[in-house]
Amino acid sequence: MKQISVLVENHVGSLAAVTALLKEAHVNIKAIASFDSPSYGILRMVVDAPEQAALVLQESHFAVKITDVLTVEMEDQPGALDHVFAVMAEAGIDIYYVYSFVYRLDKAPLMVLNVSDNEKARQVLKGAGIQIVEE
Amino acid sequence: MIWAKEETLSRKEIEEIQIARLKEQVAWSYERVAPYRAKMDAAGVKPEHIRTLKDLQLLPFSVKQDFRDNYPFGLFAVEREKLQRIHASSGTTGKPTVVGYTPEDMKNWTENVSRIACQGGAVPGDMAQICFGYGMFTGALGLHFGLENIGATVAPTSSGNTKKQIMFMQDLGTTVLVATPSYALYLGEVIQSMGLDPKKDLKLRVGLFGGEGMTEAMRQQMYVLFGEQFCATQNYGMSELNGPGVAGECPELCGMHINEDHFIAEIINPDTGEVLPEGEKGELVITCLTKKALPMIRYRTRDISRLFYEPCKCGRTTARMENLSGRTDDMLIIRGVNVFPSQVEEVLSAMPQISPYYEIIVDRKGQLDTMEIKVELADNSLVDSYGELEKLSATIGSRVKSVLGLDAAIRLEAPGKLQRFEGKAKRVTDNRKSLGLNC
Repeated sequence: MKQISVLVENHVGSLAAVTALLKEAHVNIKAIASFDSPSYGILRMVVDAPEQAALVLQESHFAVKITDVLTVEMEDQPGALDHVFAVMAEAGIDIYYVYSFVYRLDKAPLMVLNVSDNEKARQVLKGAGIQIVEE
Repeated sequence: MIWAKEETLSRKEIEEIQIARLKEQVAWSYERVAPYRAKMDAAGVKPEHIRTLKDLQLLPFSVKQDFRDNYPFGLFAVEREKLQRIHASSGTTGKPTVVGYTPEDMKNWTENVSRIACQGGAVPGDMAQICFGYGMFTGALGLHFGLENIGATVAPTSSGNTKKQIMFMQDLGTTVLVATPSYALYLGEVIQSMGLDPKKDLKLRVGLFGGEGMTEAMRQQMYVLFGEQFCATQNYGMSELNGPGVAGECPELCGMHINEDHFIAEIINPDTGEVLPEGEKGELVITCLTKKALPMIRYRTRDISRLFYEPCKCGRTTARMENLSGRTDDMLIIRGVNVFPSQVEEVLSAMPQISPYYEIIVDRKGQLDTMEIKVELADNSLVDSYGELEKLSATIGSRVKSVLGLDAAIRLEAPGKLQRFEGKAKRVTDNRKSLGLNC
């Protein structure tokens, strides 16, 4: 699955500037994560039209990068996330960051993972019976 | 190609011409320019005191303020009716400076620019595209007449409308580009973004750059954008000294050759006015030897440079001025430290992860000056990694600190975010001035 990362400044309204552009372009945000840092932030999102979103943002002079991430189905029960992380740890794969989808109706959340080795992670997760969502 | 025999004279021959013309020019000014006569009288100097070139040092300086005090025609040595042309400076630092030319001044100006064009690699038959703004600015028409004079074909495309500039560049087969270095870099970026390969799709061979200083970093970027074979030189002048045509680089790139039969260059200590020995860095002072409408004696340019007198490998014997290392009025004093924007530029340009564009914002928080430098990422490759972005900011910060001795807040901006300039680039915003603070 594609993720878009946007460099945003640390001031009031900088996130809204991004979401306003996406709204105007009718891009739907499916997952979003942002963390604080002293001078700037990286806003990471999974959207329904990543290429179009990147284009719209770049035209307004945002720095945008599209990266490949893994999105996995979770079981709605204790230990589900632990299972995913344990599989990765055993395979020696680094997890750089993780966040979740913003809605799933009555289902358990999809987790977005950025890891050191996408292909290997895909194999070991599948091997452990964890469902990966591609689109 | 060397345009004029005056570029290859011996030092003795150059000096003979200079002293003869200096005597004439001082007498002309004293007789006809009341404000300069008053300065000479106040200094107790008469035209007959000028016997050798060393006596130049007896003469009072001319400064930009003289133009403002005598706006518009007070410094002219001839009646307005005798002028063939009027130009004016951009007036970015106050009221515009009005300058004028007699027909003879026009000839000399054209001759000087012809030499500069040839020094930079232009030849008869070249297709020259002039992307300077026409109008009152001296740059466009100065290069225009000089290039026509050497037998080049001139396209006065003027500034702006970048896509059309590129269309003409392709369709006319432009071989010589005249522009500010900032605009040339911008043109190069747009050319690349259109998917054109300047090396294959354009015939561009020579860039004659002026209107603002070109740093070595900008020159390196020219090679990246237009190819290694591109001959990117800069030339020097200002409206008070005719306009372009005072000095220009040759392909040896070891300083700008001064047209010494028309201009005498000195380097002074800007604080004391004392003339500095050969090779020392200071403020460039220029005396015009042939300008009749608006004679300028010992004009303080506010540009920082130094002079070299050894003959150049290109065959010219004229003195060379080192490429400018800033302007005395560009200098910022931040927490008591002298800072030239060009120093920051040299640091930034050594880093491939960022583009040559930047902005410096100086402010005051409480009693403390602050400096922020906005830099532009060269591409989006680092955007998903806090670690890489922070490492880049920290590296820029520590390099700036090691050069300036000052901490600066580094702000990373998206590619293409910072403003591009078609004329002189404005890189510094000093908010202390709008606060009415002393700086």
